[in-house]
Amino acid sequence: MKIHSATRATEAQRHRAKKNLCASVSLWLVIMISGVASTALAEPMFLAKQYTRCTACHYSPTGGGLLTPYGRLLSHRELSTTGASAVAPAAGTEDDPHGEQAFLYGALGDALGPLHLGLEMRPSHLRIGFPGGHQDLNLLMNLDLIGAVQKNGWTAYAMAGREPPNSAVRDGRTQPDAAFISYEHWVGYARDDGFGVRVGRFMPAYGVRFSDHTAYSRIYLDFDRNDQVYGLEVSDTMGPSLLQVTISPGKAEAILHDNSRRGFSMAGRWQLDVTPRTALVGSAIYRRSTDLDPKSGAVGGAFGFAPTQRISVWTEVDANLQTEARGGRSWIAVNETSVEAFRGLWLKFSPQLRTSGGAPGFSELRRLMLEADFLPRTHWNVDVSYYHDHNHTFEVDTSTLLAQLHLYL
Amino acid sequence: MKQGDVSVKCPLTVGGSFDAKTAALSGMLTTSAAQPSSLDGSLAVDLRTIDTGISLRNDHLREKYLEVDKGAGYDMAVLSEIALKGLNPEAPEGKGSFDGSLTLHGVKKMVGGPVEVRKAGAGLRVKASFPVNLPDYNIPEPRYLGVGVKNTVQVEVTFTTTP
Repeated sequence: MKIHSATRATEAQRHRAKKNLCASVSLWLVIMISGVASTALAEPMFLAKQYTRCTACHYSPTGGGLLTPYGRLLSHRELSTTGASAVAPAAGTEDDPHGEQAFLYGALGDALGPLHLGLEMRPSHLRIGFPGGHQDLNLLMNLDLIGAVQKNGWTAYAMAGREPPNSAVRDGRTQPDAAFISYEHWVGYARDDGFGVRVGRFMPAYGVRFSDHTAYSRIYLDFDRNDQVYGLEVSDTMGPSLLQVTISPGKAEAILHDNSRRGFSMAGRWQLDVTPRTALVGSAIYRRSTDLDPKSGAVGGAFGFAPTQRISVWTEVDANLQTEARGGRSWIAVNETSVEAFRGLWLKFSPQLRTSGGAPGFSELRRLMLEADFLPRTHWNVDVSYYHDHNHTFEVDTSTLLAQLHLYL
Repeated sequence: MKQGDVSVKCPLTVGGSFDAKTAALSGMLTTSAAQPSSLDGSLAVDLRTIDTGISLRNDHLREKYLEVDKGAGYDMAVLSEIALKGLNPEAPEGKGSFDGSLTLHGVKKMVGGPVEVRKAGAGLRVKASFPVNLPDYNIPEPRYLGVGVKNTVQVEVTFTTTP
């Protein structure tokens, strides 16, 4: 392969790479523990259950975050290993946040009125193995309170939480302490005919929002951590198609804390539901240059299909036209194949590739990710992921084991 | 009729759609002696077998909206009085359209749509589709916790005939 031969490292480069390994591992730690952009994660695997759109279960049109009452009930009754025998609200119910699936198991009753809340936390254990050693870490990956009110087509949505230590960036410097952050806060309006608009802070629509925020299609296109924008999103559903366009003066964190990285950006995403179990997605994003970054952009396509009620296969390929500080043009390919081995137990297999872009000093990366996601009951699931990352340019391997207890109250 | 499938595409109010399917299609159709473009007989679907892939959705669809336990006329959907247009009933291969009466939820209404007939061994492979407007059949608006099915669903019927 041409790119491969052009980017093979010399022995000196390999030596330098190994010397920098510790720095890379530290960076990887920061990536893994730093603010996870979404809370209740978007799960494209539910294409197998004939859910092609995020808004069936989430308030956010781009997925992730607080579940709607319908999403909570679906989690309780249909996606968890146990819970199917529970009595569900009667058909025709407009809005019923009661029952086990409600906030704090419904302990507050009607006290909150139309306000729906969710509390999310993820105590985790991380183990990163690298040549010559490994590093272990116990951490609380996130702790967020999310609220939403929905009435007459209007939605007001906000979350407040804790950005882990060594994650928040202020004026270009990573802060050693945990910090307050509101990853998303926005107001939106959606008409019955499918036209919608929202304004505020949110993740722009692009590609497939895989639940793993370190997936190559998220991490290298800046959709992995606190990469939300302040902006305006317009969306329209036209038959089986969904079009989402976002314009923004810049990334939210740059606007708030680091003006030198603030730059206009625009993103577009088009989805065609070919069948209830087959979807095509095309996306593009453009970011104007900032004081510190060159202009950048990406275009991509994704295809998802579910051959049965228990299997979904998503594949996304992106051309990264110029990354901010990581070299020239590169390709990213991510496949995620999910199998529901048993009710509530999803096994995922995800090979991923990022080419080097041909720029000196930048690497071709390959990953194999294996994941077991167990949803025994409403409000909590256990997720164990194993990543094998191979730097093909410098022939360096790292392996990562991440175990998470995901509590969603 | 030898083998048949019915698929109902249900568009969701929040975007996207799901298919409700069943293979419990039965019936007999013959060319009418009195009116060659018409077919005598009917096709019937057992609505108790319709499957959406999720138990909660199945329960609501069958019990709340279709009310399959309510008695005769509710547990089956029947398509009868079928008339073909643009097809020769004696050699009906090709594309055309049809009209017919659909009895659903105790209500009988005219429906119509495109039909395609192809040869399949000694018999024929028939594929027809038509929209169904749920309020026309006194079916309540399917809405649940803010998510619902739009009022008009698209029915696709596929079956193979025996000579």
